[in-house]
Amino acid sequence: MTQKKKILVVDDEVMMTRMLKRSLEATGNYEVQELNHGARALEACRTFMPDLVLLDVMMPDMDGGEVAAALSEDSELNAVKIVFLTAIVTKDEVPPTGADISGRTFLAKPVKTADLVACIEAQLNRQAF
Amino acid sequence: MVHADRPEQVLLVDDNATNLQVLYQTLSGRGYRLLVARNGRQALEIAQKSEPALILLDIMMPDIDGFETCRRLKQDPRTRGSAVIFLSALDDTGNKVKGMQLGAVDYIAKPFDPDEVIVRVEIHLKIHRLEAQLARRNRQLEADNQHILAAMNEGIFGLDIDGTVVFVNPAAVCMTGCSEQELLGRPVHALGLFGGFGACVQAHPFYSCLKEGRICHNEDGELTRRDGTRFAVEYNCSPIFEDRTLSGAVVVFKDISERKQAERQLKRAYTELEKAHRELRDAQMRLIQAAKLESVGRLAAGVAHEVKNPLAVIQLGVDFLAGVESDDGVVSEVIRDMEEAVERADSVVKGLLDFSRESTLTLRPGDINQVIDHALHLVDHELIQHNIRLEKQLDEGIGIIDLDSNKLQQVFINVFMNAIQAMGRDGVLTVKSRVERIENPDRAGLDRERFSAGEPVVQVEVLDTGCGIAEESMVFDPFYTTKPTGQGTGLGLSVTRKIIDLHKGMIDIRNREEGGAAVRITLKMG
Amino acid sequence: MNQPPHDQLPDDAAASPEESAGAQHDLLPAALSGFDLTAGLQRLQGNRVLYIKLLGRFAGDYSAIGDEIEQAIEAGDRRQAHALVHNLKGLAGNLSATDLFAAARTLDEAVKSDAAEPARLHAAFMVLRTALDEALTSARSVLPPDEPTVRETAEVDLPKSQALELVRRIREAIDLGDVMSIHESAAALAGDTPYTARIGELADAFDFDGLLSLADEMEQKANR
Repeated sequence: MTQKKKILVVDDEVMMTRMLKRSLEATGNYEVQELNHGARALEACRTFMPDLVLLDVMMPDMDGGEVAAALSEDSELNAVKIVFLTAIVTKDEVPPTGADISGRTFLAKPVKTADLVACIEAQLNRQAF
Repeated sequence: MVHADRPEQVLLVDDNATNLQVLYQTLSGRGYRLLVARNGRQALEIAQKSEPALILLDIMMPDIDGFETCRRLKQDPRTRGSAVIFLSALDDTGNKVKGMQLGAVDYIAKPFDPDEVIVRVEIHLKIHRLEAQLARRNRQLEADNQHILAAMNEGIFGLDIDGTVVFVNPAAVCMTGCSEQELLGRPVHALGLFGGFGACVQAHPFYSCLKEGRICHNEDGELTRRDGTRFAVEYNCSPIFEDRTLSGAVVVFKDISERKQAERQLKRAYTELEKAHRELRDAQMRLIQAAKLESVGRLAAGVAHEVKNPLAVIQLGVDFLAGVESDDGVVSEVIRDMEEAVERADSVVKGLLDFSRESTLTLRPGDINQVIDHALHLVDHELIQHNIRLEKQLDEGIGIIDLDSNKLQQVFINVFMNAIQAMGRDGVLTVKSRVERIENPDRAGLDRERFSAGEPVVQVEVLDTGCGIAEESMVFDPFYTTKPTGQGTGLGLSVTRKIIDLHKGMIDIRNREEGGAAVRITLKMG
Repeated sequence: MNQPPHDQLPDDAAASPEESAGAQHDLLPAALSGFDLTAGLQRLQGNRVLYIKLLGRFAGDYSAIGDEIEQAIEAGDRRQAHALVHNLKGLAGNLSATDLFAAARTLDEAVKSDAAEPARLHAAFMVLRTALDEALTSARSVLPPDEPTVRETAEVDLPKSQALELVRRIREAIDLGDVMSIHESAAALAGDTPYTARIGELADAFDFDGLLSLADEMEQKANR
């Protein structure tokens, strides 16, 4: 059995993180941890050691961008993959399976589970460089 | 003429030297200059040259006697002004009367009483002086009168009861361009001056005045000059009554062309003011609109975000439920409906965001026909499904212009979809593209600030054979939609316009005469 | 301007009756038969000199008028008779020859009237003749002052320009009937010469013809 990949889901909306955990774990391929406070993302990463972080952008305490920046600056965590799942882009700007914008991967809410999974897989399979 | 500064002159006429000497002696040294003539002819000559105030004339003279001399003196305008006193031994009444009839002012019988002569002479000199003063004064008044009449810048006609011009003042002569002779003695209605009524008396405006004695007034009349030119006049015709009988009329007219010009200018200024007011109001409306939209925009961003999250949850939930195996067909249906609902909600939010966002264009040189073709390709399925025939008239010679192909594609898709939906089944979709040169931006319905006369532009027309649009002005308003509930958000056209706007172009929609709508998109070339 | 000699005083206001009368007081008697001197002088503003002159002229010019009238009447020429008598009447009136005036008036009326009988006419004429003789006698008794003769002026030469200017002014004055100015012009341009007196004399007499011939004479002399 292949090792399940670890995904940290960060969103200030509890409903959102709960649903994401359900959906992703239902595939059987992932172990999902929820986080509702962006500020704690770094700490959670050190503890959980995710392969990928699913990051909302619009968060009250520390927004997704700041989290991403903090992660990339951390020597230990900068290899972690990041996918932004956010309401601020539209399906026009981002195809259903996500797109790279300025070096970052974006997914637009609402997203179909299948598209979400496809995007996550694509990122995980990427060679880090 | 009497010269006020010269001493008065008295001419003594007698053929007898002694008589003259006596008379001379009597009257000398009294302040008046004495002149002497020995006979009638001499008297006439001297009177012509010296113009004496008074002539003392003997009657019995050889050649022409005193009476004849007097007659001639009174006939000659040069000597008429001298007063004549007869001096004679012929002292009967008959001669006295004859003398008076010939124009003499007095008669002194010889041998005369010196005091009497002196008194009479001085009385008559005084009378002569006064008469001269009176004449001078009258001339002065007459001149003043003339001056007043001439100074008036109102023309005056005096008419008799038949409408014949009996008086014109210099201003009337000047204003009509006719000479005095041309005006005086002519019937006023034949002069064709006022209103050009020709020779018909009854039609002439002054007719009622001359016939009924009513005042006739026209504030907005016209005077035709002799040379045919016309100018605006205000005229007034008032009746003249002599002992309560209508005897004529006075016409006073005034050139009001300056006033009329001022009125016209005022009117023009007013019209311009009105226009400026309208433009101002329109600008104000646009500003209000923009402000509304701005607030909508801000609202939209917030709403979008708030709605998207729940939608995302629902979507994931739907997917999850779909993964749950179920034999119940209803469950599957429910799941499908829910999915569709999520999509629709999402597209509303998307549309709202699109609308509100201050998008930026990525302008790159491109071929508009290519964009059109791409958009047509994307709606091809719909065309086939609705059995709509496509007519394409794209000018290949348009060339390259700066455009954001993605956004324009969105625009064309939107326009095509609207047309398809308006036609329902069967119909013709016509798409044209060409280069046009604008002669007059206003007449072409284009914003003069964006487009200048003579500028070449790209115009794309999309014509359909559908039901047309009911409210032309509302069409670009956000959320205005004629589509039945569920089929359209109504945001499409306003976004479309926004994109065209960002291209610094224009879009307008009109109903076609033959039915259906015509969408025209105008884009700048450079 | 030269002062004119006393005996040629011009007939204007400058001369007072007393001045002019001073030198000639004895020439005019207190009374003169047939004349009302008081009235006559009054008419002439007290100008005795003029009165004397006029009387002298009367005596000179009218000595034969009686015969002329008589001839006219006898010839039946009433018009002529009337003219003569009328003229005499006027003159008599001016000179205040009162009797002569009355007689002339009576005869004048008689001559004028068509129905006058010859006897009436004749009677009136006789009365006139008497009065005329009386007046003439009285007039002759009064000596007029000396007058410069023509010869005197012929001997005197005026400077050419002055003479011609004087001629011009004389002619102009006559043209205008302005006798008064002739005295002034003569005094200004002929000064002490006998011309002044002569011109003055002619002017006083209103002898225009005389003045004009003198002017011609002066012009000829000057242009010689």
